[in-house]
Amino acid sequence: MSKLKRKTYSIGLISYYIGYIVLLVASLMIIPIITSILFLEWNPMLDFIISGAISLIIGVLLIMIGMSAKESKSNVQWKHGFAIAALSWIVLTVLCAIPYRLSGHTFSFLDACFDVMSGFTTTGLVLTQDLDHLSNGLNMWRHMLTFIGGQGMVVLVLTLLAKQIGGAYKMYVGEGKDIELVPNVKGTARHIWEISIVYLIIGTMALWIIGMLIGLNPISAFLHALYIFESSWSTGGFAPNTQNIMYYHSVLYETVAMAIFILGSLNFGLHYAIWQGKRKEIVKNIETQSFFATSFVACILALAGLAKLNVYPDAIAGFRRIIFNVLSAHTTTGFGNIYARQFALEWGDFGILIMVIVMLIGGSACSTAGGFKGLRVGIVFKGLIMDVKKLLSSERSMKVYKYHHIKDRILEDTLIKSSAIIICCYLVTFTIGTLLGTFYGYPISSAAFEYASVAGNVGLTIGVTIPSMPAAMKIFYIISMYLGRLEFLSVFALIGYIFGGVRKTCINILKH
Amino acid sequence: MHKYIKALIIMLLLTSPLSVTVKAESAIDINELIENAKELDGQEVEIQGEVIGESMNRGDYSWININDGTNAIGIWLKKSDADKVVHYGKYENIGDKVKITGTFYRACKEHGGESDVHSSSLKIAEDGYQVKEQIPVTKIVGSVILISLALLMLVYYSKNLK
Amino acid sequence: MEISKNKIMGIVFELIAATLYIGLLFVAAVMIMR
Repeated sequence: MSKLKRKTYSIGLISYYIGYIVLLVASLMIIPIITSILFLEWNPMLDFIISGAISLIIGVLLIMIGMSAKESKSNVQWKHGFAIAALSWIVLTVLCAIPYRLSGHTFSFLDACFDVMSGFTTTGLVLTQDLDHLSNGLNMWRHMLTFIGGQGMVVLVLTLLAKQIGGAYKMYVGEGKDIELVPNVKGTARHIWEISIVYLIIGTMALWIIGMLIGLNPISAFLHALYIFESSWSTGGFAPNTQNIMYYHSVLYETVAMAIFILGSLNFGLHYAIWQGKRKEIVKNIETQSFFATSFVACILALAGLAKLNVYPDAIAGFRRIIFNVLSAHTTTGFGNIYARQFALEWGDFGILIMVIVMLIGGSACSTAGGFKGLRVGIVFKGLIMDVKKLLSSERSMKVYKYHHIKDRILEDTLIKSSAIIICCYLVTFTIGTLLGTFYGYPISSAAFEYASVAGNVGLTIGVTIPSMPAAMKIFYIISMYLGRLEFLSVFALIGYIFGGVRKTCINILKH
Repeated sequence: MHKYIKALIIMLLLTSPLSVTVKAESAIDINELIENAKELDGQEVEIQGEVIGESMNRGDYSWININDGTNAIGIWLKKSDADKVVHYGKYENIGDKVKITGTFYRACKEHGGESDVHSSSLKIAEDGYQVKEQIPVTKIVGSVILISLALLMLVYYSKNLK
Repeated sequence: MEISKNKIMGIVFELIAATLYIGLLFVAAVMIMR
């Protein structure tokens, strides 16, 4: 096949699959439409009908463009998988921002895209204004996006379009989920959904009942339960309230949400193993060990540091305001039960620094959480110990070092290297992001806190993310949320692919 | 003599801004309250804002949340006071604007360290109302056009499949 | 989606584990913030 033909087929294939993903997400807009109809919210209903129609049109166009490529049965390669995962997020961000913009609650289309990307990446930073007067339709949409984004949109597609998708595995890995629950990827995707839906039912019911107990009326209790569950499980952090989770004034509500977001931040492979009866996995797994160690130490340090400053009056306040927020940050959820400015004004640099560190570490791999991921921290840590041991032991011993993650695995150098490289990528972007914040005049602790929240897809804010934030920062934050969620590789592959193509085209033009 | 009086007056004028302890004479923005949380902790404050969402009854007392445009905060008040509120803010609904006089707590011991206001008095400053939803004609026209286009494309696509 | 005994036990196990961890943290808070 000639080079030009192959290129055309590549673009066609990518276009085809993106088109399918777009159609799927467009069809999901029926949920907010129905919600709006139920509550007689006509403007939002039309907003979603318009957005749905536009998405449908674009989706069908993309599929038609790629039709011939698909039919020629070209192979879907790794580069396609990465490109599809990476590009579909961008296309979807723009399309899903339309209802936000039409609602009038965002100051610009950029702000709308920011919120959508924040939802998809389960970050949780918000530029949408006046959350307390948002329509049920739009609230349903926002929280849905974070739930779906948590699973991964590609995973969504894989589950439903099982037969039609070849090269599924490559798209799946492109999205940053590279664990095999089951030998085949479609089965894995299905299991991920199954786990999430089961918890959706249990969690929503629990929060609904508690909601009514604390004084909400049945309908709003249900809606809030659904929204808060979706936000907790996906470690997103959105809430239908300006005050976030403070609205409920309830330690019970907060604690149940906390249990949900802790479980939601765990690796799906772990859930699957436990559901199959392998309960020991929860203590043997390197990620749970890593999370337990780092989160426990962070909580102790935060409690001690803030106790020294006398910020909170007693243990219950310490539990609610310190433990909750530290865990919210560590699992990259982003529910906040103190005001943003209070982090800056009351917690002091030590507290803020602890938050920055746990936000960067993040949750588990192949989960809804962000950050470096406990797996990498664990691997690099064990790798360090391994190196020290090797140094100290005799040169003739050929010891094999292992770690446990669902099954026993060998601690190979390449693995340690790739984990360390990704951690470096996060640290580099973290440095750039913090620099950017300080460039625009924000104090270093605020710039670092906010950027750690962005890069780790956390969602807690120290007050930097507001509509009047410089557009350059908004754009950099959007890109960072995206990079963080897709774990750099897909996006780098995509960039490499695009630049490779551009370079080749330029060379071809110059040759002739 | 005049010089000394002038100097005294100027000194008083210069030092008075430094000695501001906010008293409950004029309403304070919620954001300002949070910014000065340490100074205002335990003080009587007056805030006003729109009641949003719904009241949450917890026995003799209830919670309401008010939003004054800068931020939103929880008000802990007697159930009888909470019941005075008729309209609550939500989509296409403007809640009653209330004036609350009460004690601000930066980290309320009674409520697990939350920043809240324990109301001593609630007054309804303005009644809330339901906003009649206005649908712009362009939206209706736009949606009709787009739906037709979308349907056309679907038909064309399914024809092509065969 | 089959409802197997292992699945239910698994869910209960996870919920208990999460609750225990939260409880542990609460105890830590009590101890530190006397």
